[in-house]
Amino acid sequence: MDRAGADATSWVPDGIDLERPSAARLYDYLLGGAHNFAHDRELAERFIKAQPNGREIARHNRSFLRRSVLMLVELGVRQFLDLGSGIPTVGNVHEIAQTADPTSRVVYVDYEEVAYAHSMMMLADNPLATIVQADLTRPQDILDAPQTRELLDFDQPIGLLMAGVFHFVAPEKDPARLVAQYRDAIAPGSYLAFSQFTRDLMPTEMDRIVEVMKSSRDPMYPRSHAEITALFAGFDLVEPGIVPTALWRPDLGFDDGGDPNRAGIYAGVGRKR
Amino acid sequence: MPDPAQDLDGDHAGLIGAWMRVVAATAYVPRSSTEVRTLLTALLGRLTDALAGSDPDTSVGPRVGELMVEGALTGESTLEGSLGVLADGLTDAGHGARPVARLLASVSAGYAAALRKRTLAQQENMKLALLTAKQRAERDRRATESRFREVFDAAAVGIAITELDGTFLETNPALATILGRPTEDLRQRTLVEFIADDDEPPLVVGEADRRRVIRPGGDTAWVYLTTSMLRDDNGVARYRVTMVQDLSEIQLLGNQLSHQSLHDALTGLPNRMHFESRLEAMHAQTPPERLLTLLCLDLDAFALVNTTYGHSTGDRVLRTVANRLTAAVSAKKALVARIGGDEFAVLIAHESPPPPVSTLVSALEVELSEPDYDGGGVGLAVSATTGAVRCTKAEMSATEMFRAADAALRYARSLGKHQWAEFDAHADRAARKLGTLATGLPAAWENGELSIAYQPVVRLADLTPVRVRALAHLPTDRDAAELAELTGLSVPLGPWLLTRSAEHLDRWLARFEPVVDEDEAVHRVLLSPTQSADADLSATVNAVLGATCAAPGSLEIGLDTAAVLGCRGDAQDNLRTLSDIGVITAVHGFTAVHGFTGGPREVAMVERFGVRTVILSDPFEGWRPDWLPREAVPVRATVELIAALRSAGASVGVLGVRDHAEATWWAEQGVRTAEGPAFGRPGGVDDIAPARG
Repeated sequence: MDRAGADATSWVPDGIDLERPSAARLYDYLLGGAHNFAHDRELAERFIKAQPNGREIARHNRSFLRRSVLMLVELGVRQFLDLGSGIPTVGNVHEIAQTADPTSRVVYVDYEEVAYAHSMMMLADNPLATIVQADLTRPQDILDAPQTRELLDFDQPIGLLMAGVFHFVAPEKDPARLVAQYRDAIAPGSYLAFSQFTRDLMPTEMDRIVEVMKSSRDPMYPRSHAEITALFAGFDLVEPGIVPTALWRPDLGFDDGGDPNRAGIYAGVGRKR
Repeated sequence: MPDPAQDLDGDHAGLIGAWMRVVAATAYVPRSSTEVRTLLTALLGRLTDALAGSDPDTSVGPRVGELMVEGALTGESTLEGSLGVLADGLTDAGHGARPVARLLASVSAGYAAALRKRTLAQQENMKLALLTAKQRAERDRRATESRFREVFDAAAVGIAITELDGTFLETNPALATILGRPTEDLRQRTLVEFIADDDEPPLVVGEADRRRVIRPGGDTAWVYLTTSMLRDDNGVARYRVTMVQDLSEIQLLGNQLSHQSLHDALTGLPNRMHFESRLEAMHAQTPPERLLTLLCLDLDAFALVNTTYGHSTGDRVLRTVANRLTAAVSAKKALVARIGGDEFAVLIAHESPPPPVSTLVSALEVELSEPDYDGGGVGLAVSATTGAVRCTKAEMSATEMFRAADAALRYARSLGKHQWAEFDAHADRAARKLGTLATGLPAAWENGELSIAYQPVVRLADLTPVRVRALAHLPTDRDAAELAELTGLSVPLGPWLLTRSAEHLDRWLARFEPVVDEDEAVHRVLLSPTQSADADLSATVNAVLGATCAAPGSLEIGLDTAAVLGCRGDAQDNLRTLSDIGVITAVHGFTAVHGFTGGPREVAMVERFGVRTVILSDPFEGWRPDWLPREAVPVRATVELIAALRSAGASVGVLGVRDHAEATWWAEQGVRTAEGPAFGRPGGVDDIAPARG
């Protein structure tokens, strides 16, 4: 302890350890970004060791997000609520949506301080996109946030995006109730685009990932096909249902020659009844 | 615009396909595959153009590398894979191996430079983001801390933040106060040093423990200690927080609360409850041979002070009385208490033979009679009526003493204002019996034990019953009205008596009509002082008359003389209103216990209000008038009074006539009606003898 003495106030614990590895920065690293710190890269290396397919999994998940957003734009959705958006690396939702239609509005949500600060910087000049620092397991905080209410019209369809984030939600948080809370807030005709890790596809590697992620701020909880299907209660799944990310409406021009079942993550899109 | 891929021959199409597969397998490109294919075709075009000329353009390679980075072809092995397919494809297409190698080397140089630039830019952004986040966190932390600091410094509870070994890191001002030392003196010392009983088991985290702390000079103070742990993010205990609650402070607060419950807030004197326990204690502590004097004082006309000058003046008077009484006995072993609204008690434990009770009472009266001037210049002197008792502790218990002083006070009060009385055991017994009966009255009424009784009233001229008097009757032989007056039951008892007895009015009309004179009542009700003053009296009488359809003149209602003369409540209005309705009005109690009767005011009242009947009760205080000498002053006064009243237009009645000899005497004096044992005691409706003949 080096706290005694002169600095009388320093016994107050520093609440947040900003430099602990974060899943958002790990994801960025796996996608080839440099929005990360040494701790994150260290974690990423252990992640790759546990799951040598780590980069492909990240890439497929990111592609799924892009394809699902594009599909929603085609279906007429012009506003998006992206939960667990992380570090805005290449190909962000607002870029995808606003390229398709510049009037598209996007609210990002992340609870992590650096991701929030970074997003604020990136979005400073974009009046139609913003970020709310909140925990997605507290839907009311997000739904009631003034930024959310200002940018999104809950009487119109909303693209609710939970891409590669729900595996951070512990079963104790009652995931079904959480999804239902968001579902109940959005208008019929809204969509949920959802993806998350599963043990169904590569159980050994998944177990190793869970072990690795225990040391991060974001431990992981993979879910089975059935568990994920249950989360879509109140939604009608669009084709092809819940499948590995690489098989969800793939862009056939990108043939990497890999086994799509090694995508590690299930994805699906549903339309609110 | 034509697809550039279409312009290439089959080999180039194969090369693009191979490159696409490399990109797809190694990089996330946020574009459609068509867009990526277009990009790759354009890049390949630039490269083949560069190889076509004899003097290759050295700027092409680096530019292609740059464009690859801009196009996000930046997966970990994207460059390696791309260069591989390009080298094979370009040489297969017939380009020389050396120019191809040089060109691709410059591509990778351009790629590396661009990637480095991008990485540095991203890292710069992240550093900025981290800094912002840290500043935000720091701001939040400071806000939290300043809120905490506020609580810490202002808390009434002592708080110590210590190392795990108990060394003080920080202490708040309250703790310094509790330990009686300046904060600087606590630095680097441990909490244990200040705990008196260091052999006690160590404090259990999360549990409150009572310990003694040592203050400078060696004295100790009881405190409550509660400790808890401050943990870091990983749940590892880092510091200990100890709350120190000064029990003596709590003690003081507790004392104050009990003072409030035991003391009168206005005067600060002990209240009745507290006085009783103090009396008990002082009684017990007094040596057997020593005397105790207890005085109960009732301020005279205090209600008048309140209604005339307002409650704040009333309160001031009470405080003045409290102070003066306290001052008057300050030299003695004494206790002053406020035992009621305007009642005070003074208890003196005499340490030597005391002066007579009268001396003590006079001394207090002198103190109280000194006028008290407030800012407004109104000088108020108070007087008190006092009951006293003096005894040794063997003679009376504390409770008996208090009761005795109270009984004496009540007796003194019955004598009038500014009186005092010392407890008289004989008088007390009689009063106590009355008290027992009186307190039993409400229950009797509740239980329906109260009934209406009738007492015949005779015309003295021919000794003929001409009416009845209705009385509320208890199974005992006491008149319930007298008891009711003592208990506050009197007011509801009046209407009850009137209403219930009126049910028999028809019967009395039938019974007495043949014998009564014109305009003579057949039914008499005599009201107590309280009932006489009842604001609802005339309404009750109206209701009774309405219900019976009897002539108002068949009712004779007697009001209490003192109540009318003393303007008590609505007594005068009642007398006037009843007269206006046509009821035969009477006044009674003409020979009240106190003082002279039949004085000019009373006679004047009879005249002024047109009172029809004046009822005398026992004007000779138990003496038979027919046995008294005619020249005796009371006899002469009474005879003259009767004459005066008759001349004023009133008929005179008398109560309590014992026998016919006495009845004859009264008849000779001109008294018209009489009731009493001579003519029958109170009885039921059917006990009244039917009309003769």
